[in-house]
Amino acid sequence: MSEYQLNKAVYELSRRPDRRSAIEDKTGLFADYDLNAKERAALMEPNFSTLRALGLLPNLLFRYYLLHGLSVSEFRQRLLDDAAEAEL
Amino acid sequence: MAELVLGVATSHLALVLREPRPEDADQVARFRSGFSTLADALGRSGADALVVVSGEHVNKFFLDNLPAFAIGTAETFDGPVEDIPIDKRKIPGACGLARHMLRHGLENGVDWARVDEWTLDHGMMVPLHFLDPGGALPIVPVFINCAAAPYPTLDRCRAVGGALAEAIRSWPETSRVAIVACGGLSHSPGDVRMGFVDEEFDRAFLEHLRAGDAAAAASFPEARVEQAGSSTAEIRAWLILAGAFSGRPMDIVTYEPIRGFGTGCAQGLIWPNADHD
Repeated sequence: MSEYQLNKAVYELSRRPDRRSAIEDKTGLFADYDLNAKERAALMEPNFSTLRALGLLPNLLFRYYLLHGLSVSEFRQRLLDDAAEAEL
Repeated sequence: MAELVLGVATSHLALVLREPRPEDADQVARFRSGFSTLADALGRSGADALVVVSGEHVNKFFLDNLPAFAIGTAETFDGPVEDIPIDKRKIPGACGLARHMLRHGLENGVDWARVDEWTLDHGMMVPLHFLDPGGALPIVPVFINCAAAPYPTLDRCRAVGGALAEAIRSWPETSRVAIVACGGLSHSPGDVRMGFVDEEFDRAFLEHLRAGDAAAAASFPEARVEQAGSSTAEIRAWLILAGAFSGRPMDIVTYEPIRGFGTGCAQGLIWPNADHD
């Protein structure tokens, strides 16, 4: 269980002045965080529904989706699609 | 002794600073106009210091060290920490009052955390941008954890508001203090419900405040608050204010369920006695 590390990874990313370019290299960006495979995969994809289910705080999830340049409607649709896929 | 001269409550969303969608323009104009009403009341109150109460959005306070309640005791505060369309500025701290409130709380059952360095986020800076753009009034920022469950209970927030009012009134300085409570009603950023406004909840909550019934406003089950939105926890700021002015009715200045903002936007005023009603 590394919920704290998951939140820390996104929190620290969101505070970086170069966050918009830093997110281009997610592998390197998240390498030093003690994440389990599911958390790392959800960050890399990104799978917003899984990130929320894994305990990423809503305010941080909000910032993470913004860094991916999605509109509100695109983000909401991604959440719904991710959740539907998880139920299959 | 210090006097508690006015209570102000307002939503604090940064979206109000941006150009609205055409279909939201009338509602946004009414909400922005509400800030003028609040600022006018603040001027009439003669307040010379502000206690500004808000949740925070995982900027200053993270899971590594997350108090339930905290008081900013610094001599100055910077903000906003985010890149939003208002100028970054320095605001004087009312540090004498803050340190008195800290001590009073610790001696009377409110174990405040103390914060001597704090760059404020939009939760406080957006309301201050409208209410005191020149930064003339020194502030005491008060933090409530509304961002990471478990939260302090609604009723605990009401009680802390009562203790906060006692602390202000026991400050042995001549000062006129207003409390500015900043927090959203129903809203869900970072959640599949983003955009959903729970008008039924918002209106029921505001109706209790309008009636001066802080206990009823604090009696919603936690599950109902969560049902109204992932960040509806921010109503705690309003409950601190209601607790501070226990029994006094709130004049609801605006309530606008603005779809494009995805939240019910509200503002209110509480005067300490009937002369202003």
